[in-house]
Amino acid sequence: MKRVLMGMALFFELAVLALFGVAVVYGGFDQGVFFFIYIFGVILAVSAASAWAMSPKIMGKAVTHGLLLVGCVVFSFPFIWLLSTSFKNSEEVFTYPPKWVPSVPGRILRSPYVTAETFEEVKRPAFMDKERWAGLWPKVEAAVWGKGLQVLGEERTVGLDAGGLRREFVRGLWVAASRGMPRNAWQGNDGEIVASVVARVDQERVDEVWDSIYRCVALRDPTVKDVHLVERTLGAEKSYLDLWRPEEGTAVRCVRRAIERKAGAEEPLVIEYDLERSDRAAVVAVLPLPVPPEEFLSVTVPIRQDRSWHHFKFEVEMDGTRYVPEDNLYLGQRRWQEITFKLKSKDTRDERNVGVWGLVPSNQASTFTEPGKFRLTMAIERTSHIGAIWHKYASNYRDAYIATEHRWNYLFNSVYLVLLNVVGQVLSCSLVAYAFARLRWPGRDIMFAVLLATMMLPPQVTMVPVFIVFKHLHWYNTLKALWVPSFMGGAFFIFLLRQFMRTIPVELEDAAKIDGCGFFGVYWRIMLPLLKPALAAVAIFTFMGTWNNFMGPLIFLNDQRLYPLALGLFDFQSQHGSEYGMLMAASTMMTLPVIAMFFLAQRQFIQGVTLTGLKG
Amino acid sequence: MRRTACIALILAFCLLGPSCGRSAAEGHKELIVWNAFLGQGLTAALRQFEEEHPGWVVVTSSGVGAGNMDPQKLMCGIAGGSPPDMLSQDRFSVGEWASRDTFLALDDFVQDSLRQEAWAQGVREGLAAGDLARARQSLTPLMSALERLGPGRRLSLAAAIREGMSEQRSLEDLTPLADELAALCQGIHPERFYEVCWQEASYGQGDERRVYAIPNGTDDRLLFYNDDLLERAGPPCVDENGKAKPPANWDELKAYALKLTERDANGKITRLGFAPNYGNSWLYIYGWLNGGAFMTPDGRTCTLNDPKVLGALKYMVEVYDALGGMEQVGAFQSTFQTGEFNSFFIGKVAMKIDGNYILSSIAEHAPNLRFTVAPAPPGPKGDKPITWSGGYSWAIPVGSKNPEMAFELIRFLMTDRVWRLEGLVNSRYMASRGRCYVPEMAPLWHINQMRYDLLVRDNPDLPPRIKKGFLVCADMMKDSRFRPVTPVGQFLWDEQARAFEKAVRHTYTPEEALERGRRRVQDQLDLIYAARVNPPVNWNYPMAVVGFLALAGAVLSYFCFGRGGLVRRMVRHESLAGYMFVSPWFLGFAVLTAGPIVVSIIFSFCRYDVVRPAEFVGLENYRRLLSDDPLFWKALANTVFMMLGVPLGMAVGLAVAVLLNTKVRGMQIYRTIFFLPAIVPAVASSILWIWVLNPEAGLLNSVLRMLGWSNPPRWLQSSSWLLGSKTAIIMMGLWGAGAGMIIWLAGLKGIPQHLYEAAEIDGANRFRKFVHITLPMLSPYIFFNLIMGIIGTLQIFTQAYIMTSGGPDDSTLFYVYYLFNNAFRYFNMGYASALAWILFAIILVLTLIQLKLAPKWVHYET
Repeated sequence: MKRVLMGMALFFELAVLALFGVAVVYGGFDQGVFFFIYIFGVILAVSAASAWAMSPKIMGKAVTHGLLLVGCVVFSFPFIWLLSTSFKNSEEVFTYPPKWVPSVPGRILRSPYVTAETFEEVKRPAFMDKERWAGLWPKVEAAVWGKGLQVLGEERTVGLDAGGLRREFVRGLWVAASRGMPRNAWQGNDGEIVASVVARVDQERVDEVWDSIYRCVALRDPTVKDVHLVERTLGAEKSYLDLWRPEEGTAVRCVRRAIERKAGAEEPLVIEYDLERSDRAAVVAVLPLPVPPEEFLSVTVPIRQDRSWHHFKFEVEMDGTRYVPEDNLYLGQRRWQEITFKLKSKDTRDERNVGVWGLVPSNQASTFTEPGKFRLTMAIERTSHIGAIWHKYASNYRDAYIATEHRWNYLFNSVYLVLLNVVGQVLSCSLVAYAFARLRWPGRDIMFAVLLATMMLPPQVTMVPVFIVFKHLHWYNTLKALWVPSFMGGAFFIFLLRQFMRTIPVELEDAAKIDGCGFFGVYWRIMLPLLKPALAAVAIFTFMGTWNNFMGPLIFLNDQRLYPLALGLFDFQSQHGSEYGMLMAASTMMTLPVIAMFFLAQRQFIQGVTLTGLKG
Repeated sequence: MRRTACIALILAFCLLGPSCGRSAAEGHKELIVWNAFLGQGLTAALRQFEEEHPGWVVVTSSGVGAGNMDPQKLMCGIAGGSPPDMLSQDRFSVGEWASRDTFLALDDFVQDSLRQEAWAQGVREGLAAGDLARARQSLTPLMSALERLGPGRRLSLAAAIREGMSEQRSLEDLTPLADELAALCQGIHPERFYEVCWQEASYGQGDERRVYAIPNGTDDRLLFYNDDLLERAGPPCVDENGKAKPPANWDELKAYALKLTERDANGKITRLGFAPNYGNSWLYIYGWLNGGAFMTPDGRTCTLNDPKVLGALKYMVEVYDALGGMEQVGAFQSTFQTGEFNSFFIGKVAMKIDGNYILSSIAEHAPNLRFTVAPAPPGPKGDKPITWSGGYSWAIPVGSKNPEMAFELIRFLMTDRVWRLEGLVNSRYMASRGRCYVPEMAPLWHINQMRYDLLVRDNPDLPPRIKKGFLVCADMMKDSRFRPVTPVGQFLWDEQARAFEKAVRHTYTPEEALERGRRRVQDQLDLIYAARVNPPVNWNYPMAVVGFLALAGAVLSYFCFGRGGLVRRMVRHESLAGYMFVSPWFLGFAVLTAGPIVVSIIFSFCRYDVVRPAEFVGLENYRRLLSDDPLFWKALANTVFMMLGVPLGMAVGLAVAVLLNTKVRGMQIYRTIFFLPAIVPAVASSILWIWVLNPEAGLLNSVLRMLGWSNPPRWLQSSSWLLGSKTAIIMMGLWGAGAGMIIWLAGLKGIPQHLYEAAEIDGANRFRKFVHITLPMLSPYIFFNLIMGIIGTLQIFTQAYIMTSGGPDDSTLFYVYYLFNNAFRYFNMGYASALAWILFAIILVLTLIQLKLAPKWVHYET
């Protein structure tokens, strides 16, 4: 009987784990009945066999561990999701079916290239049977490829890996062309279907697909800003892009090429590099400097990146000085983007969140002294594959960090409030609870009823009067409003601690009293040590509550510099609400201290055992 | 000793530790702005403002809830006498605040700004014509007007011109200064705003009509359709060339909806063609498209049951029924529509009516989407397409410390050059992140034109469909309507939404649903327009009563305990210690808690809207609530249902705690993991939950389907009692059981081991040990959890507030959420207080019963 029960328990545990596994790996449950019959069959066999063969003791352990594992899977779910989302780039966040594991960037050494990230394998339409599709698809594939290439123009595919290009291009065109096909177009014979698919491969769709699979690094003419904030675009009449030259000894080519078909846009400069041949690919240009060197503030470069996650180095040289960005940059974007580099010495504001990076003089002197000109160097330096993965996974964290202006204020305020609140609640609540649990004084029961009653009125109706009271105490727009009340005890915790104290045998106190302890002595020497597990609970709750509280700060604070992290996060959400990756990265960073605190605070639970073991 | 030192050290650090960050603006004056949505553009504009107005610092405070849903902060601020200097306010609620005398009328400021502009123009034209006398004539009044605002760029320009004129400098030197001055002095021209925007920010009848806010943004609603899907469906969705065309009228709209909707073999919807209320349309757009009106022009009567509005509602219900009913369609109307699933972008929805603002998210998330924007088709009784607009506006609350400077900032933000600056900065920012920028719609037509020329027309990165869409949306603003400006705007909004829900779910017929809504709105209106019968509450009387009661209590207890007996007992050593120990809490209670509690009792007998003095009305609130308010009972029933979660939560928490109390290696890690759901920030977990519980694509339902439940519950989209939104919320609560586990764990750790050892000697098995030792020893915690669980559940609020907003069909309208709505959204704080005290009474009775029963089963050591 016992074995059967345990076997069943094990079966259920393994089944839940397996389901989660399937969800994570496949993102859904559409694998068909037999797949699941097979999986559950194996699980059933395993659990039956172990129930039959193993001793009850080992089996009991297995069931306990199984339960713990199932619990872990179920309860860690939100955090794993949070973590996984924080590693994703914006296209990955909401896909269907959902992806649990953030994509790992491929190893890209040659660019331009065609990415395999965008399109899935072509699937047979649901209404078409297998044989028909097997015959039809090769024809469609060949026709679509031919038409696509013709519309695109073959010159745009020079130098790309032919196999990958054909695969990805056809996949994309198929998705774009079949998406809006009228239903009756599927009724005809093979030739007719091919014809109607091909007819839909038009300029618009080809450009759309090309844009989403083609990756390259490309430049347009930069803009220079002087200290009076006047902007001058270089090459406004005639482009200077032809002035760019490969740096000596690096495997790189500069080509003017139309990479997207857009009206009115000049051909950008595509930088073709091959990091298999050299670790660095750099291009250099000497450009006329439209402002006096001492008035130079910043240079803005429109750049299209290829999301290869290699290092991106930038140098400005003028007047014998070499300037380099103070942060490391990576090729992490894939669309056109404007990056600005400004001299840190002229403007110290941190504007990295709007794509403005600070330039500082480099230790290496420059040999470039030509008057009236400046030299730009743009280099792509090889990152190891691990490095590329790291850069991708860390990018949301970096962006979230950069985007939060008062981050250190937020952190300081949160830590300050948490410390004071925890100390305040633990001290005052245990004191008050002791009076309610152990001491006899007239009015105690009435007071206790009042204490309970204060929790029964919804706080929403007292919010305004409380605000007015706080205002009169001059606590408005100060942190006092958020910590002083904790030194007056919270009804919830007082009640909790009172309950806890009432489970502690009285004999211990009596013994202490005989030894000459006063009431405070009993509280301080006997009660507090015995209360440790409960005090740990109070501390954890207070920590969590304070750390995550944003409603209080929202109402009582005005000044951004006084915000704690929770309100900062809320603010962050209202500004970057659609950038889920960044939002989740910020949330993760906010959650980690609580996890660490909880992990450490548990020591108190373990100590509780040894101490309570003393009595008896 | 170590303990004492530790605590002392922390306290010393924190107390001495700086009350830093207060040096916000040494020697500067602060202009406090609330609810501003701080995009990059506005940030840059504010910086520019500070540069042009030396001595001033703009202090912005978070855009949380952006002013419409979260009025607590503003209400507290106004009631507490510390309102901001200005704020961004949802325009449709401006009337509510203005009617309660909380916003300043801005007409005089507007006139001033126009006068200043005229003077600046006078200076410029005078100088251009070489007519110095004329220039001087304009310059003098301008300078005296500017001097009142203190030093600034405008004043220094004017001073420079005056100086230049007196030094007889050449006109070439002065003209550029005058040009700049004229640009800087641009005033606010009401006629340049879209009529709808300006009127929505105005309130009052006839001569008393004033403008209370200056619009700073707007939107309108149009039909978006996916060309690919229309073309695939074929006629009637396409023209003779096979190209998609928009529906011309409501019949066609319905035909499209049915034609475009696709189902699988089981009849389940796999693609939604069109649903009347998916996106952002509401009964409002259909009512207006059908030629209806929601209020009489004088604002005294609600006409929600107007036959044309009724026709519109019937049409909506008809389409939903034809699609298979609201329950089925609702799956596509998940709460975050623009966020994760973007049904329209991924082709799950073929057509929808939505705000122009989704153009930006199309540009961002689906730039290749083949879509078209068209006006929503007019109804049979309407003759032309109509849309409606909302948006935000700048308002200055009464009590603002710097109203003139606040208006100066508003005026500054409304000048052409700043609109231009904001547009450029925003577009730069988006470019720096590699994204396309579609300008937000401005409430001024010429600004939209300027932004189109500057940022849209020649932008090679924007797809032509979006450019065209931008124009169509801007063009539609001329045929736009706005929600009635009334003191009960929010109430009317909620009631029209409720009427739609009730009708579409067939709880009531459309006639009945609208009539009920109308009656409720009308009741509110009548209450507001009813003359005050009683004078404002004189706070001396209640205070005297409270003082008298306290005194009477003291005297009574003195006699009850026998003369002297009480005093003798009170000065006993132990009693004194008790009073000392309890004093921190008592102090807090007396200073911080007691007053507000007493005040709220008094408010429950008053008509009180927070921002104006209370008026005593006796038991009126209680009478209305018990006899006239079906929502009160609904909310109460919903909340009582949630009590099911209390024992469940306790059981799960205890089970988890017992599991985590076993001796297994790595238990610290296990415990931490079990605790995780309780600490993930609500921002993240609510998104996750919506996704897990999504009826179609959600994880939970895919598991259920796989296990053979072909038609699993629709969770948050279902108003069903047993397997609907409430159950879903209970489940979420169970997931967070890790938090409650801590208390159980602390309790388990407190059980002396020797009890178990003794039981083992007696041969008890695990189960018996649990029942006979663990449970009785834990009874104080069970008691605690029971009482706190009941209190917590009856006050359940957050889930409704953050995730469901009380829906669907009022199924998560919890008691405190309803109370909150009354207090802060409907301006019925008196009514809310009455609600609160009824809840208080219920909880009190339940708790007293438990306290009475407790000695029978709770095992204490004393």
